[in-house]
Amino acid sequence: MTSHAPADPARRVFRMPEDLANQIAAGEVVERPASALKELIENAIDAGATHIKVDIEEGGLRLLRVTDDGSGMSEADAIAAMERHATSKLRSADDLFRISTLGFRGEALPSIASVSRFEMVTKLHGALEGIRLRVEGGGQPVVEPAGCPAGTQITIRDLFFNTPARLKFLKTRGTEVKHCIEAVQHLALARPEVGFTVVSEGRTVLDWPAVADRAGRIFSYFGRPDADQIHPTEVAVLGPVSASGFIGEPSLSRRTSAQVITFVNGRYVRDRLLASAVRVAYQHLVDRARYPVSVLYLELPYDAVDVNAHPMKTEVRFHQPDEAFRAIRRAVSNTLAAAPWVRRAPSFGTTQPTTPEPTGPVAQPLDFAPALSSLSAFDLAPLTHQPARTYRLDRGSERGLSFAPAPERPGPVSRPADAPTHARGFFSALHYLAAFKATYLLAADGDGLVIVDQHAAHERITFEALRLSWKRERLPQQPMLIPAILTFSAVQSAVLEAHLDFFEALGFELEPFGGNDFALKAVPAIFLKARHHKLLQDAIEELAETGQSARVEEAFEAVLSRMACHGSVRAGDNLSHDEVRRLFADLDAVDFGANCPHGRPVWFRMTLAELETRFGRR
Amino acid sequence: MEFVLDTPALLRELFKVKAVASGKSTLPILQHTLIEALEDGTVTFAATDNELTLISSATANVVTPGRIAVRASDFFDMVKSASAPTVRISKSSDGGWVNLDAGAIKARFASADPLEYPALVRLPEKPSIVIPTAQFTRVMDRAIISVSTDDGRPNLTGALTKLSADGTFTMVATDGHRLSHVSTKIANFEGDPGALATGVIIPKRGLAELRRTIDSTEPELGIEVSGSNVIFGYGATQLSIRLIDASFPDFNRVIPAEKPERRAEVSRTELLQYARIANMKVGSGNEKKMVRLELDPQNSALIISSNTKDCEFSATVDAVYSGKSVKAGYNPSYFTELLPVLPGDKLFVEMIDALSPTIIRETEGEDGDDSLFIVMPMRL
Ligand SMILES: Nc1ncnc2c1ncn2[C@@H]1O[C@H](COP(=O)(O)OP(=O)(O)O)[C@@H](O)[C@H]1O
Ligand SMILES: [Mg+2]
Repeated sequence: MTSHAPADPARRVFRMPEDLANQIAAGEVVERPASALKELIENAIDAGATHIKVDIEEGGLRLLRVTDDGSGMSEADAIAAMERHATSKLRSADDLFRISTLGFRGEALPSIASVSRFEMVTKLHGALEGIRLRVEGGGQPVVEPAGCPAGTQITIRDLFFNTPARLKFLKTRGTEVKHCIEAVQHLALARPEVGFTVVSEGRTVLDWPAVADRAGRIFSYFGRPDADQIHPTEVAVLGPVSASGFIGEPSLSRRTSAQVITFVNGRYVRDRLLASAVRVAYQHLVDRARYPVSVLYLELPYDAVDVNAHPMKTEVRFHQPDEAFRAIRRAVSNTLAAAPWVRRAPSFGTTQPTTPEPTGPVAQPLDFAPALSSLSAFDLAPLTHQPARTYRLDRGSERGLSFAPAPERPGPVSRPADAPTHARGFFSALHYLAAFKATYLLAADGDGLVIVDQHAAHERITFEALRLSWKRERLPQQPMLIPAILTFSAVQSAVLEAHLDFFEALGFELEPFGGNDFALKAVPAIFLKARHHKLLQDAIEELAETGQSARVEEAFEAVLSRMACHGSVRAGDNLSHDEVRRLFADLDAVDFGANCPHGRPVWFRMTLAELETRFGRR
Repeated sequence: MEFVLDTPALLRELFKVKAVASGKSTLPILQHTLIEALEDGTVTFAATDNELTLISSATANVVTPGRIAVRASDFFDMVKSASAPTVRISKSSDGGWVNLDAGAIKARFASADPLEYPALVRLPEKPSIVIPTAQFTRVMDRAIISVSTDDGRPNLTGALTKLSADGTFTMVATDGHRLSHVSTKIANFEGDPGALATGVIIPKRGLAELRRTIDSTEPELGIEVSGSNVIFGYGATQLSIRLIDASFPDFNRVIPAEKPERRAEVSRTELLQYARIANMKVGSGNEKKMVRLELDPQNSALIISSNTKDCEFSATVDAVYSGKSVKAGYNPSYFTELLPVLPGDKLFVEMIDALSPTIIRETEGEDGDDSLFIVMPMRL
């Protein structure tokens, strides 16, 4: 291809070389091994497979293999499939508005092949012989005849070998395996008629037989004993839209939204609107800081929803969002209303102010995770240390993707409606009065009394510093003169080992020291005086727990927030005036709108008018 | 039991035992102080929390010998408000109460059974080791600042305390990031160092209690290691401290060899003054808490500086130095904690490079003292 050679020196806009275009597309479609896996499985499902087997090595980075017994491809089709925008699933632009297959963009195979060593072995049913097709990091496919069973086997080796930047961005192997398994689970939940097997590092971690209906699949997913507390919903029909699925008893609620799982026309989607519909239905039954468990399927005409909203196809756009919202809410709330298994304690509703049920697609604020559970969280062993041969289904229920944080998600500050909005300089401008119980700092502004929780405030500041450091700006590091040898439990050390890069990015220098021991050689300077062993144990606990369910970013933020507690002044510490001034100045730099996973309220303000009302002056 | 004691003396004794008695133990009897009046006119006050045991005595007018056990903090609070010059303490005839009679104030307290009180270890009549109090406290003050408070590293939560047969008394303490190595030479030492020859780890809490109660007018301090405790005797008081049962890290490996050519002589007070400014400028919560030191042989100067988002500061002080130009950043609190406890106006700073341990040494210690402090620079 020489068409892009600069023959005419004045010409500066050229068509991209094919490989570059594919790599750019790969950046959108293939974010991590799990996203490549998802594309391959979708293709297998679209090809009518009845059983799909997945092999994973080193989190999918060394090897990802999907073997199906679907239609297979002819030699010509196989070669064509490697071209960008080649698809058997869409013929015209009109088709784009009624997509029934999972794939349709025709860019997955060439994208994946451009960033890996790609091999496809495929044979049509009834054909005498199949073909083997190889592509290395893009380029022309090499094709040869091959003897193989009917169906398709695609093997991706050394994913991202030629895009080191992407490789660097990836988290540890354990995390990637977890994402791969979640991807399979989400696809499998929508297709009970297809059997799935996942083998990671030679161990079968998921083995779900083909079953007659969704209930059977749900049973595989939740396993005993949780599955006994999962019940089918009624089918809610609203015009052309219908919603149904399975919901958990309120007592099954979880700390994260990972188990609020939704499908639109058989496609797993992460959608805030649908998730909030579920929460609204559970209002007063599940604590505001927790999330119900549910798997819901929304069906609507293919042309009533745009599935082409995102290259990874995990987001959709409804043409009639409130219909979708109401259908889900109705399916869940009608079922809950009639359910004999819902115990309606009279205290519900009195302990919380009753908020009127939104009538439209209202974004219900997602609440913050509640207090952390105890160390028993380590029972949720990381995937790399699962002793059982088969995937532990009861653990599976802790997995899943959570919803992307909403931009309008409120910070943990209970900011009263009449609080001043000029955040900049607000705290610095306060007139500090005194500390109450060496815990609450009292200060005044023009006509209000401001009360700041010193520990919560400092924790918040430390959290912001940590988050910054993790994202880009490294914090100063304090090396040890005498390294500490820290001993962890087997599970803790496995989690730590899997996340060493994360701790390193923050400024912890840790080295395996034999057995479950680690040598701690440096700490972030802000943690100079913290209890390092305890701090790391807390962080690991949080990783083991949140890391199972949340998105990478959310999980790490939860860990940072947990760590922040250690670097912070405590309630009961006496602060000097200078320290208070400094604390206030630092608070001004804090973005209270940002998400802080375990944040508590930091401050509140009482107006003079409120005080006067209390004292009967008004 | 009945005795009369001067109010200030009684307060002094109760003050000593109160901190130990209201310590960590949740055993009710340990919140009491055991008071024993002896025939010979001494009254002893004892408190223990199993880690620390403090026994102290005063001379009183003992009317009837005997023993009582009262809640230390309640008792102290009451005596504190007494304005009479003396206090009379007696046991009620049925033994259930302790009466306090101090002029206008009369009070009675429930007494615990003194027999319930645990047995107390006492310092032998003639302790194995006797060293001058002033020398001991000098060493302790410089060591204690480096002791770790992280109970995740128990072996660092105390100071390694050693005594060699030639009378060199040494304390070493570290929190993992910095280290104090302080020693003094006890003139004409004769005695048996015993367990102190190899060293014992004395917990910070015990040292702090010792510091709080020690009487600096007492010329000498007796020391006895007995089983898993070390007992200090000073005047009429003795404090027994349970030792930390762990091995102290091999600190010799982190002490760089002496290299006089790297040594800069600077003013301690100036360095302290500017380190304080740096520490203040970058007070709580600021992520860039760091003070930079730069040795500049051209100008024979030590430049102390700190930067934050909104403030930059630097100060130049004279330095006697002919080595290479070198620069490193540190946690300013290392200096603000260490420098005030050092004597004299001069000290030596020995910097190797931005990543290696930096040494601070006393130039002219008091007789026989030799102190060395190591701080680890920060990395950016
Ligand atoms: N496992 C498979 N079995 C049969 N045909 C497949 C398989 N994988 C891919 N194909 C064919 O290759 C084409 C291109 O796949 P892909 O790049 O994923 O695009 P899309 O799925 O969007 O059409 C598909 O349209 C399909 O015809
Ligand atoms: Mg596809």
